[in-house]
Amino acid sequence: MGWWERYRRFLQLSVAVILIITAISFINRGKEHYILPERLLGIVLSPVQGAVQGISNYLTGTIEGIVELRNLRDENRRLREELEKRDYMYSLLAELRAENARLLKLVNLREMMPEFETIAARVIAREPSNWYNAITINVGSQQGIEVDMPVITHRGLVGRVMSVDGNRAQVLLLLDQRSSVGGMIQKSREPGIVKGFAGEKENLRLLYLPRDAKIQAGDRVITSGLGGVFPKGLIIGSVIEVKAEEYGLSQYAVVRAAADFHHLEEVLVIVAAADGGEGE
Amino acid sequence: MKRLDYGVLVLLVLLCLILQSTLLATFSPWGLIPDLILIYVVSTALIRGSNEGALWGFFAGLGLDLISSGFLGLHCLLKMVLGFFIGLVEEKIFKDNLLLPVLVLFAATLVHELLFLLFAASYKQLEVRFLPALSTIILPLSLYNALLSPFFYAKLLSWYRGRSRYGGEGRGI
Repeated sequence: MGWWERYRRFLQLSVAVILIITAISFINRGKEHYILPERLLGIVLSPVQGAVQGISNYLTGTIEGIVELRNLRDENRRLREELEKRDYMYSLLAELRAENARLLKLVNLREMMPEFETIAARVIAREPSNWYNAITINVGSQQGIEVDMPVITHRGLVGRVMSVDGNRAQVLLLLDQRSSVGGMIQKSREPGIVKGFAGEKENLRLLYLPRDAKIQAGDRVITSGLGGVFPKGLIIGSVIEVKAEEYGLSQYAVVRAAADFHHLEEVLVIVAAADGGEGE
Repeated sequence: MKRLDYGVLVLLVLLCLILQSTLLATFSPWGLIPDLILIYVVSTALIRGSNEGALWGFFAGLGLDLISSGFLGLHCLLKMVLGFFIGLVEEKIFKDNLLLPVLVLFAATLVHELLFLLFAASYKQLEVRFLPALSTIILPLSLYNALLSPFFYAKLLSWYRGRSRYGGEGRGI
């Protein structure tokens, strides 16, 4: 066995390696166009590649999409939560602002009436029956509330305390049929009795006015102080209509109450006149 | 019925009382407050019969009296009587018909409010002109209660059926 025989395979391999290396360096020098094998292969493979790549892109896109979707969903949820939190804060703010405005009016009212000592109260429940009109407030005998004390808002008289417990009290509204208050026309000083009527939701009646009393729609009605329960001069409402009693001996006025009975949230209870006496 | 079940019903009555004196009294459409307690008592009477109708009428009515500013005992009395009489038909009716509570509640509210006015007037508690009261309060309220009743009734009926199926005394309801 000669030399050739002995090293043939190594030489073949070396030649192949050299050829390939040469080819590589030749092919890649200044490569601006596809070379023939590339093109031939390309003709065969390109469509398949294209298809497979399309599928891959699709799959990758889908997978990435799913991942992205999950991220987006997370983000979406986070943003929603954030938004809800903001919404809550916003409504809280609006609520606080409204409450602040209402309390401010009560404070102003209190300053406008230095002659009375008052206690602020919150409405915690309303009358559950359709025939009566009353509210429950969150102050009671422990805060110094007593039966018959007048209850007001910045708009006007609301009613009087009907019953008292330790930390709450029931207030009979002017609307209730059981309520009756000494009232008078502010301008003409004609006195009468202001009563509520079962079934009426916002109007009162000023009863027992003399037949010749001069009363016009729009006249303001205030408490007369007669009867001793309510101090004189609290606003009750304004006349919207004057009618004759059935037998014509007297007339009565339909009065639109100044207080907004259906949106009562905070009220003031007149505890005493500032000089120490009962509120009269 | 176990003791716990009565506890659940008591809680339900308390919830009705709270709703009726706060939410429903504040957001009352047409100025009307639906009488959840009456709906509860009538539904119970229809489902469980006279004894329980009267019993719940008494206690739930008393509860309503206690939170109302009106004459104490009137709701208690009227609701007990209504619960009893409505309960008498319990064995003769097909309970799955939801028209039943609607019709019964309409009639029951009508009778309830008329008797309420009559009693309150006789005790000098209320003085109402009858026709306006009928058209502005009593009839609309009857309709209102009647329309609310099937939801309440259906829920209560399925609750009672659940009780009697699992270890209750198995009354046919």
